[in-house]
Amino acid sequence: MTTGSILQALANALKTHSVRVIDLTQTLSPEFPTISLPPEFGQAWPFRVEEISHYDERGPGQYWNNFSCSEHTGTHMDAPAHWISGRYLPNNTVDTLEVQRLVAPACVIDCSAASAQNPDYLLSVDDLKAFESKHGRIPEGAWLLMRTDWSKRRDAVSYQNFDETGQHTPGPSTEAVRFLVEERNVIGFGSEAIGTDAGQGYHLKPPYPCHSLMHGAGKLGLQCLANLDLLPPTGSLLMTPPLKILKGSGSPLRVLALVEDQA
Amino acid sequence: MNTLNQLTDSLRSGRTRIIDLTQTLSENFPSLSLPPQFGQVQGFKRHQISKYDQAGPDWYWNNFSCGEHTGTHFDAPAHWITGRERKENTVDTIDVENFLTPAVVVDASQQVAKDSDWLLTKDFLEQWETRHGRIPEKSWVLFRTDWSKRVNDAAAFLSFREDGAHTPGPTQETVEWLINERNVHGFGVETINTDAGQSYTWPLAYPCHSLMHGAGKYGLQCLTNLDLLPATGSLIFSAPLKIEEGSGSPLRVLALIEDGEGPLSSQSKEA
Repeated sequence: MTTGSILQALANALKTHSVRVIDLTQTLSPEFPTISLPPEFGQAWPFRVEEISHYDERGPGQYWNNFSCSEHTGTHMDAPAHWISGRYLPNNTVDTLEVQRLVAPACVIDCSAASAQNPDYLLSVDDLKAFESKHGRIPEGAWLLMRTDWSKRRDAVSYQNFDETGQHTPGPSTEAVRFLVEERNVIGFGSEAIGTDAGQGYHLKPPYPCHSLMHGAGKLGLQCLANLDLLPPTGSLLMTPPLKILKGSGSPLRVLALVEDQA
Repeated sequence: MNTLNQLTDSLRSGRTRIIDLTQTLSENFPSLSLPPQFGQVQGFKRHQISKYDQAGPDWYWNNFSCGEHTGTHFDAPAHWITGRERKENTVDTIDVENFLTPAVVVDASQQVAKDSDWLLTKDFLEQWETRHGRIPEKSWVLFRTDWSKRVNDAAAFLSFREDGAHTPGPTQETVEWLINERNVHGFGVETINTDAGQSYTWPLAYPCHSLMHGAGKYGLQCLTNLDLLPATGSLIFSAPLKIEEGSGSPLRVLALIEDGEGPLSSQSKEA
């Protein structure tokens, strides 16, 4: 291989579409559901937009907007500092994360059938081992993305899926999180739902294990992903650069996957 | 081995490196101010929700507000009236394949250090091409001025006087040449404006906005670390937030660059 050949090869592959780019991002709009906590806690802002000008007297040549939201609105990344367990880790906010971590391979485990039957479905260690026996070992430093087809729930009520006992959305079991952190050393966990933890994850031990254990180990989270059904189980490469918010605990972001057609 | 596996290995070994071209988004980052009769873009503002306290005992997070054109940001064609009727002209509808694209870097840092109003000419680019080869079609042209190094001094960064901003940019002829003769992907700068500060006085005001966006091309502003990129051979990841009908977006811009087969790559492979 000569110098420059890999990036050149990638540029060529993009041009000829043997490498394709898939958008894993939900559209950021005022209608997109935002996480909602019990009322005694501070709340994340939903996305709001305010027009500055639209080719009119406020700016005849320009169209542009101001907007507001939270670091955890829409498709977003959780940095380790988001959770108290990651509080004292080095490089734990979106502005200080090593940029080398923002491009990483992904494994996609399909839990869509199980989640359709049971919105409280917990991804188990057995599921992960079954995945590995079919697709090979989850590589160190890879994303584990949990496909649930939850992103296809277009109305906010069924996407949030609250009832009187709280939120009912799928996520990983405590043991699955431990396995991914301790046995596989993944870079992080990605979910189609509004949290990386199951809606009922508060009742697990520890509560919210995917937040508590992942961030405590310096791992990352991705939430509100879409189009995971378009990815292969292994072999895709994810680009996940959050905004460089000073001391940001997370950030809305554009998540893109590179997928290569098998020759 | 396929291309993506090769790239993954190359990233792991450190032979392909990632360079951050993004300025930190904070309340101190200088923001654009327009004449008072126009609508104003907001600077970045942060509102803490909780920090391991009563408002959220186990978690830290913030709300924030800003403009689509605050900090290091992307301009979509719909930002300008000339791009108004184009298809896929907002950040949510642009084909995502446009977010990973090769770049060339044109270094005018010495010229700009002597003259804040320095204009990038077609002649300068043609001389650049004699040294580095023809600008490939669909490449970003990134204009290195070292302006980003002024960021901690807002007055020097904005370089505003009573007759407007004094910042470098391309001439109209240059913009036309880049579009018609080189069919570039877009134009990226270290200043807050892809156009020169004084271009509002020209026969065609703001040619880089007007002509680039009219041709469906893109803009990148407030870039940094362009001095760490090679003149050719880098690949730029510049994916804006997927804001519904967004005219632009703050974003994280990363460059992939490849080192020669030096001691660095063999060392980190063994590590």
